Amino acid sequence: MSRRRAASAAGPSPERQGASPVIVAEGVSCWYGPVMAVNELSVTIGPGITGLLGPNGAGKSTFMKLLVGQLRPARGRLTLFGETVWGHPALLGRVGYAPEHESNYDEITGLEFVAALTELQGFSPEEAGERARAAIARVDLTAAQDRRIGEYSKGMRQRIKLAQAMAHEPAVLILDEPLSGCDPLAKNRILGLIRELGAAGTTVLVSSHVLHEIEAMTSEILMMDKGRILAEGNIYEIRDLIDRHPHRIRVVCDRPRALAAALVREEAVTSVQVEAEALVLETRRPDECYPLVPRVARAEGVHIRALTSPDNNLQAVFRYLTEERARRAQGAS
Amino acid sequence: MSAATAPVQPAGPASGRPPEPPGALRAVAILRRLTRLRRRRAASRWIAPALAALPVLATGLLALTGRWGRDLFDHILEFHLRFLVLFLPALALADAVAEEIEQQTFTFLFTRPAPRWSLPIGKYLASVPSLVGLLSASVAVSFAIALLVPPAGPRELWNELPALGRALAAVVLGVPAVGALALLLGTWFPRHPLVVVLGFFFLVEGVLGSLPLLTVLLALGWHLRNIAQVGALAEPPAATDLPALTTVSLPPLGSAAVLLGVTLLALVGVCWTVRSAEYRAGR
Repeated sequence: MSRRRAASAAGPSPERQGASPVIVAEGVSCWYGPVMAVNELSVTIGPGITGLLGPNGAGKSTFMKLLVGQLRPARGRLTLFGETVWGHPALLGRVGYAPEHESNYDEITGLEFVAALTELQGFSPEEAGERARAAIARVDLTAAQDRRIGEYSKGMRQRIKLAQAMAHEPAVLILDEPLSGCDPLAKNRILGLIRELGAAGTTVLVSSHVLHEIEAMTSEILMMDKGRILAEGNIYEIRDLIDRHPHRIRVVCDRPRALAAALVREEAVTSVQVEAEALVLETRRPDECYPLVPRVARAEGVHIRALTSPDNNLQAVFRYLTEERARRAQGAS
Repeated sequence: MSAATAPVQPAGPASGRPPEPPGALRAVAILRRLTRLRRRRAASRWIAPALAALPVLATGLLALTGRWGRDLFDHILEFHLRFLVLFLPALALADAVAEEIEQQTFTFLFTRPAPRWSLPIGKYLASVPSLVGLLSASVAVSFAIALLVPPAGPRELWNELPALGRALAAVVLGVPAVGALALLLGTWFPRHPLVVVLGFFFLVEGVLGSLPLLTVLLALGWHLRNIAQVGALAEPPAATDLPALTTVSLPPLGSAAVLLGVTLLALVGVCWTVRSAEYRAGR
């Protein structure tokens, strides 16, 4: 795994620390009944693209809804361009929001949908129509713009949502899981578009629970779990955190005992457990281990049927970071 | 966390000042247009015309069996005022806000710099005029059939025009009032709004509105019939030993004022409720 920067504690990257903030959250909390969806969240987000990473239920969507004034913070202060979001609808003229859900007005066409919403931003019907066409073209939906949204595929619905969010050229773009349900071609198109918008100076906050999707758009990320920011900073630092936490690799093979005996001698392998038709090894150096296992297997004459990692996902990193934070808190007390 | 510095205006193409937010009336007009567009293409668009055609068909059938004149029209008008004027606006408007919450489409609208109340008011204005037109046409055609079939004729029709005027006044005032009340109840109870609205009408119109007590004044249907002067209301109160409470009377203009008041209060209530509500669908 490549590293552009040495691993460091989570925190905003040096270039971000100097950037002026567009979004500022100070001790923001939000409840859904007894459930605290966002918990004392404090964060500063500047221009450019910021990825918001977290597992389902982490509070990403709630944070975004707070940002677009759909929810009111129960505690704390949330500002956009220095103004409180809740109760200031005029501020929404500078914000574009693509929600996570797929629901839409199925009876109207994509063009009618985007044009009507752009009109609600204050544009004349003619200008709204032009902007809607341009935005639809940018998401590559021109051919389907006169079809009813009810006939759209999941990926097309994602793209029309993106078009309505950016048709008025907002200064801040909030995109909740914009790649979910898109085919690879559409994904590439949307990724390119988001990168373009970020490069043009738009503040883009984009959420996902898939690390590599965020990685393809930006290196600046916020990791959320249980309503809190777990880590903030450069993606390479997060990658380092992934590498630092104990990593398991499951190897399904014909002679697990023989392979385990050979692997346990390797320095990169911390421990090995043998199962019926597989072995699970633990390592803190997964980059070394992935090529090592097939090499050792070949040398021992063992036939590998599958090689998977139950830890190679964000969930494991979140678990690790949560435990790490609990350990640090315990140490401090 | 990074230290907060002074907020910036972003650079790039997005840095231009956004246009002035649309005024309230403009936003209402946009949402009214959007709603009408959706309604015209919805599969349920035939329900209201089909129901409005029922009394016309019934008038024609009854005319074929020998009934005619003002008596026939009054019977048909009771169906309009007791059922259609209550049911059709409820059907159109009870879920105006609730459907947006259920389908989460409100997220597209409430994240715009337009006043939130433009959504329910836009929907209200998309439905009410067309329902008024539809029901007025239904009443007028029923009237024409009842008053033109022999042995009636143009003379009877001419003589009874004031009755048609009163009936149309009841429709013109009743549909907006019922629609506004249904919109308010649906906004307050966005889960199963139509059930709540119909339940409310059953209780107030069907139960309280039928009791020989002052409670009839709560029933919109009573005021509709009072304006149209149909049914028992058209009859002078009979001499009776019962207490005065049982002979409730109000001038038609009083009923018109009640309907206007209900309309205004309900619409203000809707705007007030939507203005600062946090809708948490999708969680």
